[in-house]
Amino acid sequence: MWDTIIIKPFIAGLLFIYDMIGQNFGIAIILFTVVIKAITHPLTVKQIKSSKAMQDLQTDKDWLEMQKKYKNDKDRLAQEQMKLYKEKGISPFASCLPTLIQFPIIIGLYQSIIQTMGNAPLQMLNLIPKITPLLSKVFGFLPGLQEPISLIPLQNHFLWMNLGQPERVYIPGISFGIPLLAIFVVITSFLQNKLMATPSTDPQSQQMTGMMNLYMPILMGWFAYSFASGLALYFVASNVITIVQYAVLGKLNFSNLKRKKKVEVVK
Amino acid sequence: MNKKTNRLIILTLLTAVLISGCTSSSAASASSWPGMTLDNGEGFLAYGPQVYALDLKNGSLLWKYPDEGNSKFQFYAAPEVDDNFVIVGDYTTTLYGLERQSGFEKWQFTEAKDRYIASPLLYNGGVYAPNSDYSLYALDENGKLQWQFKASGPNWSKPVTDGSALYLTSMDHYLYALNLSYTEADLTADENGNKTVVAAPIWSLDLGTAVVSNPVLEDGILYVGTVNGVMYAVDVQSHSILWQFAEQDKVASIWGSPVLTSDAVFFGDESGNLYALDKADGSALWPSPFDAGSSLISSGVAVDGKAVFAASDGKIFSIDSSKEPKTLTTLDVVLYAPLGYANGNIITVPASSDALVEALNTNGNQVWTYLPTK
Repeated sequence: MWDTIIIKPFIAGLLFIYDMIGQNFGIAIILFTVVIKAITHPLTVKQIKSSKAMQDLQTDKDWLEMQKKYKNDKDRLAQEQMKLYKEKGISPFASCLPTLIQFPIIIGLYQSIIQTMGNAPLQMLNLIPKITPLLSKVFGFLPGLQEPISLIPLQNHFLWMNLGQPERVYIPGISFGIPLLAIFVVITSFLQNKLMATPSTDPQSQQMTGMMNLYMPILMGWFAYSFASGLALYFVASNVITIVQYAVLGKLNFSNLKRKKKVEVVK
Repeated sequence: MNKKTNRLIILTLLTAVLISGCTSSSAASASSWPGMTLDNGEGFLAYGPQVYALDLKNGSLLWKYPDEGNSKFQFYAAPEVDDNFVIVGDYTTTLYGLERQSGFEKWQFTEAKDRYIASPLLYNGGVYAPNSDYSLYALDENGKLQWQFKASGPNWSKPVTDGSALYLTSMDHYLYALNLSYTEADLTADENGNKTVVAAPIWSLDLGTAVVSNPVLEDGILYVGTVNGVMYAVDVQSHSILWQFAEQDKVASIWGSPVLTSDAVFFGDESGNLYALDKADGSALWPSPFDAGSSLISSGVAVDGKAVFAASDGKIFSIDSSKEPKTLTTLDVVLYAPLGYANGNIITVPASSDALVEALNTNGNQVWTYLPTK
């Protein structure tokens, strides 16, 4: 089911782009990420709008009064909140739903990139059955495209990288390899999280956002350091495209990059 | 903590778990299946962090390398042996030369840039090691590089020789014929300026798609299957295709080596179909293939004029050219590792919690098992 709906079409898409652009898997990963981001763009816009509505609600007079009034009655507070959502025409799940829809797409994208690279026997064994006779027929209809099975294995050299291997740059005089792409992943993940974070007046929320801004890039950087560089390339492409996407929508918060004064918590 | 923060944390953790689970390219995770070679009553198995040498009479351990399992080693390509050496490559670009009697490490060759997925070939004191970095490295038995040949794709197949030339099938779609040795005059400079690179093969033949299975060479004919399910018989003297067989409108990759009997060529494919072809002209001996019930990835073995195969669902069966199958046993494991035959027993590598290696007699009854002590 998962394979049929997500993985097979994604692999077909990756192979199609790879074949179209003269068999460069690095460019294929970048272009495919652009295509997926473009397809899911309406969901992103919806998510941003819903988040903004929820954020505006936090400063609404009725909302603030309600918090004070029912601070000792959680059930009543929940009921009143739901009423207010209804009155204002806000769905509390509207900002969550697009993320939930996008999530399997992101995971599918990871899996298809890893499978399409096919740099080990088990991956290759998973990949080849996904190149079905139907896919061959579709490719056959399109002029200039090769039979998809003949594209295997994909040429996985891109710039200085072997996309099937973790990336390291070796500099004469230094005994260890520098994980340049992993560093890019950390930087772009940090920038993405920082620029997209919505300002909050709640100190606890600020603290949590700060932690996420730190841990998420480290986590992504660790993945990029440990796994095949094709995946790291996808991380960088995805981060950069997301930043551009938010910039086009005018939703980047450059003020987040400035050092802020510590918020004093007054009890 | 607000809802958005909660959501972010849950999504981060979920992403971490899913990515870790979905990504099998890490050196630490399994990405292949065990490789095994049998020689002169002894078995040599590469599986994960260690290489094992076993006495095939009773499955007792002769030695293992390294002594203690270490996750930095990832061995999957079947070791290659001669009287003195065991040569085995790992998934971290290193080829090891071990003493056959003791497993003592004699040398390491570390000039490759990618994994050793293919087994090397040892012939007349020469080591011929294909690597995924597109090169085949020819070393002397002390691990010193003699020459290298650069194909245009990864090399996942073990080369074969007829004593006069070396034959390499590559994932770049080609079968190459190379000399067993080259003089400096035949070689061009590598990226460091050393004259080690073979300028051109003796000849090459386009097989249309990638080859991941090991070819078999018999009486001057090389039998090899490709990832689009075509079985070729190539006359290496005339370097021409003697015959080729493919089922129409079907793409099922061939992973195992063909099994040759006196008159037939048996091979299985990833869809679970088993074919028997006339050795002379490649015509199908059966009107339809035998359906093994699950994919045939493991290389089979010839036993008493019959071909014995292991399907990936654990079924081990024999079959002859009259299409009479006999199920020998069914193991409760996924079987991808090649079968072997030694001392009258079929040797299989279930790699389960009950047995790493298992010997069966020709009726399918268990003779011995080997399970490493923890």
